[in-house]
Amino acid sequence: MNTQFKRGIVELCVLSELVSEDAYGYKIINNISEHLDVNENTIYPILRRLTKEEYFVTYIVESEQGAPRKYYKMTEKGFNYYIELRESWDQFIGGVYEILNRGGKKNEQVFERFRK
Amino acid sequence: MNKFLKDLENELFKLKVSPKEIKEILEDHKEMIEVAKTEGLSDEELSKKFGDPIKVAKELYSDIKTEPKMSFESTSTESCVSYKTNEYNLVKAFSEIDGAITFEANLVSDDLQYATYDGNEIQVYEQNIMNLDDYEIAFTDNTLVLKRKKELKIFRNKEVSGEFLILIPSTITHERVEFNDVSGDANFNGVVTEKLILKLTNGDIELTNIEAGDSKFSFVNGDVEILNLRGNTIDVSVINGDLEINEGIFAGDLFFNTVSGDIELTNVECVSADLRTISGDLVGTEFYPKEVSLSSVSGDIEINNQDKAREIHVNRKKSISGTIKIN
Repeated sequence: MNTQFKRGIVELCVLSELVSEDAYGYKIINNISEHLDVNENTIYPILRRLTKEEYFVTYIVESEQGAPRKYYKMTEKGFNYYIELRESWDQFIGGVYEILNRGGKKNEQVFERFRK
Repeated sequence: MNKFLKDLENELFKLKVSPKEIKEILEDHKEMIEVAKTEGLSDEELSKKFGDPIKVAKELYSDIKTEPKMSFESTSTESCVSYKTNEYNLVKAFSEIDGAITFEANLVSDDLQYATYDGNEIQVYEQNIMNLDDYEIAFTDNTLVLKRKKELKIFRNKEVSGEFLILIPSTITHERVEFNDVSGDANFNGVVTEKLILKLTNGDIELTNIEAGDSKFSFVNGDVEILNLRGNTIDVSVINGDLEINEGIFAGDLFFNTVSGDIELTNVECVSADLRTISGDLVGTEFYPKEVSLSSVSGDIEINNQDKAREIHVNRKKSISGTIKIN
């Protein structure tokens, strides 16, 4: 998939992961890569960039198992950005499905032309 | 996964990411890998999840590089506004520029101002230059040359010194900038170059908002003031003049050698620093080399840093009668 396109989508997913609760880096990566074929290479740089842009802040939590973990917390600026991105995504993907589904026609009807 | 971290570090170095950022990125990765391990991931699963360190470095770098580099862009354009070109005479202009250029200048007593501006041609101006025939000013093979041609007469009339102003389109980068001057002053602003070589005997020099891969400076008497220099390595040798660096980020090594000049470093980061002084004093404030070697004969060396958590590894510390302190 086009990398730029993929990056935008993963960015939205990273934001979405942090809307409801704070999380540490590996958890975010794990949650996203369960559903999408992306790995740390894509997710970590986005996490870092969004933190620099003040959409997230970080804090350290001592862990019972092993080293302290860096948690990411969404800021209000981040939340506003998420809402904005989410709206344009919904609009976009809604439009895409409108096109793909030809206004509600079933795939069988759409593919009729190529049936031999 | 240690190899992953090592490769990531090397790749970030290569891409000239600042040491401070590299440290943070590595710490984040160490943590994430450790968590993954405590959750019981096998090595194979780990490498699938973490992927290719080179890719992550490139991805990070493409984000970093699109950020404004320490207000580099804005100040460099501001700088050209302040040059009142109407006070100068335009000597030559060159517009056939093909990629990165080289600038070579050899002057005796004239001053030079070299800066980037918003235009799209190279412009060479002068002010109070007695006879332009004494100079070679040319742009061939993407190399800009400014040279004092005539051999100096030993019994000459009073040498009058003038000034050159060279404006370079801000989109242009340099392969090499090499400047030699005996008694003139020089001022470089907003220049991006792979190599920066400066040799001055008596003149003072000011560098502002410079990006230079590798820098080599040798100065005898003049003072040097550097504000915002970003680069890979820097090698400075000073005899008597003082050197001041304010805001310097180096992805590689820093080497300073001074005889009796004082050196002041403020907000400087680098990988390794080798500082040597005979009788000059050396003061570092918010100076963070990863590792440092210090030696002095009678000069004092002092480093004062706020962030105590950032470790500075001392490789060598030697002084005969000076004091060396890291606070």
